[in-house]
Amino acid sequence: MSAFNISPHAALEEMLAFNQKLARGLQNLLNTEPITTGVTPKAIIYQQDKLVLYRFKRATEPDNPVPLLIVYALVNRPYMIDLQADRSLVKGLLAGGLDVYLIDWGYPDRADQFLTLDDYINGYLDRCVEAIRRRHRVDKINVLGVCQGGTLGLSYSAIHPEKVKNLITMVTPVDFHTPDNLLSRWVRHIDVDLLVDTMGNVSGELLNWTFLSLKPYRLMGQKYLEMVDALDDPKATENLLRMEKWIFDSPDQAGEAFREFIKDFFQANKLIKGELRVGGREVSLTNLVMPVLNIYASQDHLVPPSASIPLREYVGTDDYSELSFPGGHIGIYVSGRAQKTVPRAIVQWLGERV
Amino acid sequence: MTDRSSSDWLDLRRQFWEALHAHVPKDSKGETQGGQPTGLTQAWIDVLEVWEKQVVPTVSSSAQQFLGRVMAQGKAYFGLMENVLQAYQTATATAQSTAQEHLNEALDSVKAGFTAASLRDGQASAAERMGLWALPLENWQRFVSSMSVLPGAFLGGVNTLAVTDIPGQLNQFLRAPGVGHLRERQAQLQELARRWLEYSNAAQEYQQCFNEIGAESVERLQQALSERPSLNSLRALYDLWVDCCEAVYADHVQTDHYAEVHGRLINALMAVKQQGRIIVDELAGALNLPTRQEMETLHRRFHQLRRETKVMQAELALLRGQGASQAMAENPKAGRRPAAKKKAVKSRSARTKGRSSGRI
Repeated sequence: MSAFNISPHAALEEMLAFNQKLARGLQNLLNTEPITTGVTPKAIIYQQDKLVLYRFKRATEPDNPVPLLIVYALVNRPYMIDLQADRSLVKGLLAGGLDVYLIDWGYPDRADQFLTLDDYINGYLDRCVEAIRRRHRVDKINVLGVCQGGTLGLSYSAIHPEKVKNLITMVTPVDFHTPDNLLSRWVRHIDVDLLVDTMGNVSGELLNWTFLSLKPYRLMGQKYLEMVDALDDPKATENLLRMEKWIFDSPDQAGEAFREFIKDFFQANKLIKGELRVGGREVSLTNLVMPVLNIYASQDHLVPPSASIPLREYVGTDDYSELSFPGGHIGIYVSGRAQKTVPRAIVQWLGERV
Repeated sequence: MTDRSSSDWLDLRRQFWEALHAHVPKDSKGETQGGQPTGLTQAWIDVLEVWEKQVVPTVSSSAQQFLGRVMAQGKAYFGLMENVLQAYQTATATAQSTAQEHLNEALDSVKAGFTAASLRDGQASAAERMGLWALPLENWQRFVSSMSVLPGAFLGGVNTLAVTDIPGQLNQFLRAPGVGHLRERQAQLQELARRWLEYSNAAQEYQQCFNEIGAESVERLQQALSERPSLNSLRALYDLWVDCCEAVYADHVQTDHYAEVHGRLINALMAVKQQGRIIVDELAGALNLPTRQEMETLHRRFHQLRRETKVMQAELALLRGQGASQAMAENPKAGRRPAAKKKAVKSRSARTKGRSSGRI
C-alpha cells in the first residue's frame, strides 16, 4: 500500500473550506438574475415557420465583402457561439471584419414532425442562402457549419456548389463509423423507426441523456464539485448558469429528419460512401469544388478527430486546409485560447479567398 | 424562506462546522479523540436535505436544477469524508492496522455489494448506495420519468429475472386469449403488460452492466491507491475515484455487448410507449377527442401539400421564364415595354426560384 496521507484533521479542514465556499456560493445563486443568452446584437432578416435568419449588427462596414452564414446543429441551441462577452466566436468574426449571419432553427413541435432533411437542406437552408445572396447581390456566399450543422452544410454545398464560395466545417462528423465514435456504436442497435413512429419528434431529454452518458461521472458529478470553487464570484456563477442552460437546452428533433439522419449518416454511413441522397438529389463530396477549411478539436469526445479528418480524402477541391484546435468539443468555442486563435484563423483564411 | 432566515441558517451551519472542527485535536494525525464525526456527517447531510427542499423552490428556475446537482455532489463528497474518518476511527480503536487498510476493507465491502447484486440473488443494485456510482442509472431514470406518467424507477425493485418461474407463469397468463366483447381491450392490456415486463428485463440487464462496472471500478481504485505516491487530500481521493470510474466505464461502453444492451433498453421502452399510445388513442376516440393518429395523418397530409405547392411554384416560375424568353425571341425589336415586362417576370421568378413560402 502506498502512503495514504489524509489525516482526519486535514480532512475536516478540507470539508470546512468546501462548506464555506458552498455557503458563499449558495448566497450568489440565491441572488442571480434570470439568465440571458446571446450577447451580440442582431437583426431578423428572414423567417419561415420556426426558423429565423439573423444578421449580426456591425458598427462599421465589413472588410470582407462576402457574407458568412453560420449553420448550427439541430440538436443544440446556437447561442453557444455567442455565449458571453468574452466567450463569443461571433464577436471574434465581426471584429475580424466579416459580415455574419446565423440560422436559428427554433424549437420543433409536433406540427414539424414530418420535416425531412430535404426540407431542412434544400428548403430552409437554401432559402436562407437565397435571402443573403439577393440582399448582397452576390452569386456565392461563405458557409460555416458547426458539428451536425457542418454535416448539413457539407450536404448543401455538395448539392448547390454554385452558391457556396468557401466552406468551413467545425467539429463536423463525416465518417460516422470510426472505432472511437461512441455515439455511432450506441445507435447501431436502436430501432430508429420504432423510436420515431412512437415518439413523433425525438425529445431533447433523450439527447441530453445520450450526451451526458459519454462521460457520466465527470459531466454529472465531478463538474459540479469543481463549480463550487467558482461560485464565490457572482459573475462566474452567472457564466456557469449560462453554460448549464445551454447544456440542457436541447430542442426536440423533427421526427422524419431525425430518422433520416440516424439511419443514413450514423447507421449506414452513406455520406462517406457516396450513397447519400437528399430529396432525391445525390450528395457527393467530390462536388465540393470550393475551398474547404476543416477545423476539429483534438480532444473532442463527442466528434472525435477521426470522424472529421477523412473529409480530406473525399473533397473535389485542391484548396483543402485543416486546423487542429487543442481542446474539446465545447472548448473550441468558449475557451480563452479559442477566442484568440479560432476567429482569427477563419478571418485570415477567408481573407485569402475573397 | 426569506433572505434573513436563509442567512441565519447559513450562519448556524457555519457555527456547526466550527464546533465540529474544534472536536478534532489540531496536533493529531491519524487519531481521533472525543466525539464521533461519522454520525455527524450523516446528520449534516440530513439537515442539508431539509434546507434544500425549503430553499430550492425559491431560487430562479435556471439555478434550481444547477443547485440540486451541486448539492448532490456535495453529499457524495461528505460521504467520502465519512468513509475516511470511519476508517481512521476503526484504525485507532483496533490499533492493529492503518486507516488505509480499513479504507481498503470498506472498498472490498462495496465491491462485494456490486458482485452480490446479481440478478439471480435478487438483491437491489449496490449502485444505489454510493452517490457517484449511481449517476449513470439516475440519468436514465430521469429520462424515463420525463416521458412517462410512471416514475423512472417503477418496477426497479422487482427482480423479474431472478425468479424464473414467475415470468414464465406470468407470460402464460398474459397470453391467455380473452373472450366476450372486452376481448380486444384485454388483449391490449395484456400486450402492455408483456411489453412492460420486457422493458423491466432490459432495464435489469442494463443495471447488471453497471454492477459489473461498479465492481471493476472499485478494483481499479484499490489498484490506483496501491500504486500512487502519497495521497494528501480528500479532493485528490475523489478525483482519483472519478478517473477510475470513467476509465472502467469507457472500457465497457465501447463493447458490442453494451451497445446491444443499450439498444434493447431503448427499444423496449419505446415498445411500451407505443402500446400505451394505442390504448390512450382508443380512450380518446371513445371520449370523442382528437387522437394522436388523427393528428399525425393531418400533419403528414399538410406537409405533403406544402411540398407539392413548392414544386408547382417552381414549375410556374420556370414556365414564366420560358414564356418571357419566347416573347423576347419573337419581338427582338420591342421597346421598353417588353423589357419592363421581362424585368417584372424575372423578379417574380427570382422570388419563387427558391420555392419559398416565407416572407423576404
